[in-house]
Amino acid sequence: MLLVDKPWDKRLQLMLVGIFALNLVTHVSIVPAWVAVSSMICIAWKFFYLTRGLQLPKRWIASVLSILGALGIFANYHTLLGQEAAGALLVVATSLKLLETNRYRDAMLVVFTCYFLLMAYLLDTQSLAATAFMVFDAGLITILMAQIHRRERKTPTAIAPSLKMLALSLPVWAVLFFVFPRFSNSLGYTKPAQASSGFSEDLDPGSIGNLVDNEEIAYRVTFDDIDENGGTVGLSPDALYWRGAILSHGNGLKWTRSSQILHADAYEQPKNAKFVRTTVWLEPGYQRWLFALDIPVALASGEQDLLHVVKRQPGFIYEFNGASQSRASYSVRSVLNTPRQILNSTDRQVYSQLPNELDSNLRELGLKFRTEVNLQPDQSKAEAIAESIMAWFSKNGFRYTKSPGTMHATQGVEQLSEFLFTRKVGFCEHYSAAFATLMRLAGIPSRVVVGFQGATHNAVGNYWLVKKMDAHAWTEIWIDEEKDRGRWLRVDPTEAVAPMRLELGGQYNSLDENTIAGLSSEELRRHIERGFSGSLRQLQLVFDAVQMKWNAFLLSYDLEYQLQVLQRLGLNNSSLVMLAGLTIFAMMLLSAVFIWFHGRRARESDPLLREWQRFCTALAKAGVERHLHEGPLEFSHRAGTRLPSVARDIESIAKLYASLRYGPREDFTSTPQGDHLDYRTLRKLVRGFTLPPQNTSPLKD
Amino acid sequence: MAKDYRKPRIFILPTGFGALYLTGALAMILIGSAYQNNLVNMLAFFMLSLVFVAMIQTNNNLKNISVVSLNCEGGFSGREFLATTVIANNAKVPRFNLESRLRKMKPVSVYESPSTLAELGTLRLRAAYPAVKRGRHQLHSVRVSSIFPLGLFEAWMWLNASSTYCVYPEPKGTRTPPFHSMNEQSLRTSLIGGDDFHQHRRYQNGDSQHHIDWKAVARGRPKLVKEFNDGATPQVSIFDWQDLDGLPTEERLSQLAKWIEEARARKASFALRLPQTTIPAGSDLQHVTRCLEALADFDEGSTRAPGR
Repeated sequence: MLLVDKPWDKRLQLMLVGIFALNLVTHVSIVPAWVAVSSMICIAWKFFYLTRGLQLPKRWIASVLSILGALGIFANYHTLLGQEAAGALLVVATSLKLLETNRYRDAMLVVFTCYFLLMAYLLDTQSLAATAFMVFDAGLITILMAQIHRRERKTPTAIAPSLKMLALSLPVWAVLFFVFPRFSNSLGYTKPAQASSGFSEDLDPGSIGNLVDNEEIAYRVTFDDIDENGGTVGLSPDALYWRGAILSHGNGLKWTRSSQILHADAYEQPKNAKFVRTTVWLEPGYQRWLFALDIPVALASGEQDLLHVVKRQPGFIYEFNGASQSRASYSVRSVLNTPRQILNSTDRQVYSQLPNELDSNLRELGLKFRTEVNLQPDQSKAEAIAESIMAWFSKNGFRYTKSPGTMHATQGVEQLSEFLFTRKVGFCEHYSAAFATLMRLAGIPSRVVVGFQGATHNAVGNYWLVKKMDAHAWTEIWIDEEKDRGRWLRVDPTEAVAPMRLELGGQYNSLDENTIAGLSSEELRRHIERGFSGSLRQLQLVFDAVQMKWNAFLLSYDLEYQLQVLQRLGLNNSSLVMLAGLTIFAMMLLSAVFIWFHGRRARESDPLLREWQRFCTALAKAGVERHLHEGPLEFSHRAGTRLPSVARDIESIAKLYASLRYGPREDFTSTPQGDHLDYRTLRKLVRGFTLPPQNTSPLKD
Repeated sequence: MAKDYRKPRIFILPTGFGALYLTGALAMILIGSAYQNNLVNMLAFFMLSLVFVAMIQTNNNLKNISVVSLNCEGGFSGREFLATTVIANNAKVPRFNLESRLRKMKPVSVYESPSTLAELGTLRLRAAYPAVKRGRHQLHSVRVSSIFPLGLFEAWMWLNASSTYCVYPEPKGTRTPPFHSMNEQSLRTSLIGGDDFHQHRRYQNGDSQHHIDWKAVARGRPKLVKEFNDGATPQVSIFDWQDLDGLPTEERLSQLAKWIEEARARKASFALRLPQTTIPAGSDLQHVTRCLEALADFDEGSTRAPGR
């Protein structure tokens, strides 16, 4: 193989270091800090080795380091095979490899791993920016890989063939991408839940609060159709509750999912039911629950395949199977009015269960709410109690804050007492947990719901954007109607302390408390938007709308889609096999085109001879005609004596032609500077050749 | 243009890296499907399309290439010889990253040359190969190959090119080169040319007895050796097969080769006498090559070595 074991060009090595650094940047936030730092040291080391002659470590030291690196990653992840562990291992291995890339093999291996680093990055982010980066990076890696096999110094001429290759690969890529059959989830792979980026399963102080400043997008929602009666549903921002999970086991401020088995939902369709069909486009890496507009009564029709990956839980909750996410978008049917349901005695018990060690203050407070009911007409007892608890919150100096500080108590129940009787500051999670507990103390079944509240409308793409900072917790209380029938009523205790949080969504939390004081929600909204100029904001909306379309395309282009396209093209009964056949056919067609096209370009009509004849004609005009028996050198000699002023030019053209035609003589085909002379040089010389005036003038006479 | 009916057949196979790359791309498709990540799929299909394009380009890169000449410089057995292939591009598109190899031989080193073969241009490719068996060897074809553009595939073809290369005897032996008999006046003049007395120097072990100035010894002076001036070359040696009595043939040849090599290093003039050929004195490269080739061509069958 060419140039194996030859120490690499310094320039090439620097490019290699550069491309690895570029790919490392995308991993800095994913890999553990020590991995990031050590690979940066490796990069810097190599860089200074190349530029300042710093000594590289001995081979055995590098080997020891790589073993240590692998052990370190094992200690970090307890495996070497998971997605993140494998990514980190790749980073460590490549960093160490980089230190000894002075051979062809090493350089190629580093290039290979760069492709895989890029892939690992794409597993985490699929944004528009990531797509642009992928195009840029993959192109760069490929050009570098081509450069390894070339030795030209001048950049433009050196990368021209690479660019041509990339251009040729585009149609092939398009065929493969669109036609190559996607064998969807046949591998049964499950992706582990990512606790870092998402919702924790339980509610305790801080579990939602730590998402407050997170501006990342959780998902986007489109309203597919509105209301079966044809009217529009007036969905004000404060009605946008996105249901996630239900927590029915309360222990003070700490709420968890109940281990007891609850009964499946049965509901009566309410009169004048308002149904909304929404499609949720999840951002990658944020999947456990299928968040949906409250109350999601069913998956939309046409989502049968979703049933394989989604587990339906009591309380209108949908969970991805085994904490896996295999679908990134789903459509759900939600009803906007509260439906009538049945609550049987065992479920009622679960929803009324109280923590074991309640202190007397709490019991007294509960008893007070239970007994001092101030029933309004047309009001159930539960609603009346809820109202008095809300009133109690707003009257007793409770404050809403995104940074409530740390509790002294660690026990959930003690934390509850601390919150209610001493601190009186809290976040939505504090209020919903406290509210639900107080309701149970007052004898009303209740539960905590976690999800999102609020959304930002994108008018350009006509969809709603839900960010992680919109994470929220609220409660539902049971309203008895007749026997075991009744309704779960949504009560959001945050309303008692921060009503504008519900109108403004999560961005309310980004305001500081002094700003909030005394401003209406409209003024606050304007205050929030003041940060952006109008056009910048518009640009942002457009960008996100493009992003949304791109995501929708990326997420929905699967086997089903491919078959649909075929069907639309008139290929009925299309199948995976047909797609595979089509792929092979298209590839064969493309290769035939490429080979034919190349052959056409490569075929020549002897341009060398053409140039030589042009030169001979010029000399003939000056009176020196070539005899048929004369070779180029012989002829040039004769012509030189006849035209002494241009003898040198004639000789050099003839010599170059002779060597190009009849085989090389190095002194003819290269200059003293070592430049290689070829057909183009001959062409330039012939075209630039001018006869001396004293010879042309008599001819003109 | 007339069709060339003897168009060489181009073979192509993935290199080790090509296989690795393809495997990686396929694995990436599996990962993309498992995660239902179309962006990963995009990257995987990009890699796959590169494999496809690279395959075609590698193959195309060898089209319309012919061998202009194949020349080999001789080399000592146990060392290496240099082979120079000149190839021509008969196409109007440039060719990249070409190399040439001899059949069944692995080059010791490859000399760098411009990797690009311009449209309608010629390119000189040099490589050194191990010289093994003494003699003159015939070459019939040369392998021209390329891994352009990405090193994923290697395409190669065998082009007809006849040439020979010489492997000289391995230069070894411990004997010192003798000066030849002064008494063989006729031979000396014919071989060495000039016989102008140049100077005396002290006798050293191994110096031919014929060169000792016996007259001076008789006068009681120490043993001196006469040196003769031959125009530009002050010293002329005769490397004679007959002087190496008692050695097997190959060792004799090796000893002669060593003397020649030493003489060449000193730029000294020497003549070579073999049982059937005699090469008159000289010192230029052509002469050295001629002598070494005579050693390489030496056929044991044509003369019965007395030592055997």
